[in-house]
Amino acid sequence: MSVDGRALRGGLGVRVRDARVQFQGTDALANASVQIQSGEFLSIVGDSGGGKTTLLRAIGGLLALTSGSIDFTDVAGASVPVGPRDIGFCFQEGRLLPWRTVAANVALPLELEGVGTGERLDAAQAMLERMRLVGVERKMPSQLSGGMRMRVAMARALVTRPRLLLLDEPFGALDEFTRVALDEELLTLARESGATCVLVTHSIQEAVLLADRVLVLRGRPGVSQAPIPVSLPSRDEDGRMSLEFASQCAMVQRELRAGSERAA
Amino acid sequence: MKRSLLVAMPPLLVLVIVLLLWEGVVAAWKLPAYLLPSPSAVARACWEERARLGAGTLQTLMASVGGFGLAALIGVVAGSALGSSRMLQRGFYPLALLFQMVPLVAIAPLLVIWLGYGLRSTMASACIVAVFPVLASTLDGMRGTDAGLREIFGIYRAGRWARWWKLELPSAVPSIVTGCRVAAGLAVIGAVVGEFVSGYAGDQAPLGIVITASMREARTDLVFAAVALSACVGFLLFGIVSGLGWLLLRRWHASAVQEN
Repeated sequence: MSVDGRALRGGLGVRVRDARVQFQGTDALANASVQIQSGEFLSIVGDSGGGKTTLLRAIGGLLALTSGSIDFTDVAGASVPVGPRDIGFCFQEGRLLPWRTVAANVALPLELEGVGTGERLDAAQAMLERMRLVGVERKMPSQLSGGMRMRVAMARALVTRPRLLLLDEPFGALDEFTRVALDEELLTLARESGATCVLVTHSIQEAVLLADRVLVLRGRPGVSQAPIPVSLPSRDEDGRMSLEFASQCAMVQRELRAGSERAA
Repeated sequence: MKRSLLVAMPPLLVLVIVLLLWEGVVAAWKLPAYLLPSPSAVARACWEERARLGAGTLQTLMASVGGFGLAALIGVVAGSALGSSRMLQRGFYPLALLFQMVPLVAIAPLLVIWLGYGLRSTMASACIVAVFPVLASTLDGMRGTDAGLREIFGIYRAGRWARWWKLELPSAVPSIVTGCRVAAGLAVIGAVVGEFVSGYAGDQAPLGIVITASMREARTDLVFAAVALSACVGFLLFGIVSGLGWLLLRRWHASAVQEN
């Protein structure tokens, strides 16, 4: 299938039911259930060690559930199979190949799928333009700043036009200014692409600012709570200063704290 | 320019001082030339026997370069094979280690039996001593491939070949370069030792044969000259390999170091 025919297919929905993950007999994720709508932006927050990343990785198929199920649905809610192109991953460390140029890194997913050189470099170039990364195509990752590297990693995740974008604390290692700028960029990209986005973050502010709903994993190992819907007048500079934003953050905070009090 | 001069000057200075002392000691104690020839006598021998030494150096260079090239190829291929399969690794790596322990001088006669006298044998003996460092460093480098990058290749369902060619081999390059630098030095040693046993005598005799023949003729000055020239072959090969490695790594070395 051509690279361009994919944008219209809409985001994948994800149905997680009673997901539980054990590593060597120890629970990493106690119980998570959530229905992620097609095209939705869901943030996952929780205590460290609560299984946020575990849940994200299970959704992406990087680890198997001990019990429970995860399946994918289309816009109409019918179950669909997913291929490697449908899911894009973005990790905190960026994970770029240090011996490849920026353009070759972005083109990697298409290259591994056997897309021809011309087509994949065109797709990579288009993605880089969209991420405002023009002029660095021929640079090596080591020549870029941390924020730029993260944007390249995002471009790579998006180059297959995924219907589901999984983000594991993507901006966790960046300074505050870069992080805010990239948050805004991510929001725009998510809306433009129509992909469903699942973001794991340890920042409640970031979780609220970006998401349609916030899923709290309470306790260690985590148990999922009912997702908290987020409604903000705007998600720009003013939105971050608004009273609604503060109260939404407080709500998520309360949901998290209720767990730690019970545990203590 | 100034910096490279600063790096090159001290060892050169020490070398000159040592040579002068050596010359002085030989003159002062009137040491016989068959015991310890003076540096000037060695230099004179170099010049007078330049045809023989030149031909010998060329032979040894060919054996070393050929043996090293073969070792690099075999080492990378075998190391990659062992690196990509735990079973192969368990079966073969201990044997490779054992094989490494067999002294080369003991194998050299076998090489003569199988390959005859001459370049083929000496090349083989250069290859045998040089292959292990390359193999081990390839294996090490492949096993050290970043787990996060492996996961990326898993996500996009890369095949085994793509994993090796596009991920594991490039990841192993810094390690392979280090192994090759060690191997370059060893290859020359292997070539000269091989020549002692299986070198082809005559007017194209390699340095190893020049050394043993000159020893029998009590031409100690010529022995020294041949030894110095074989060291030069070693330096040359090491320099070339280091230079190639630098060219290969300069684009991404800094980041590789950072991420490790």
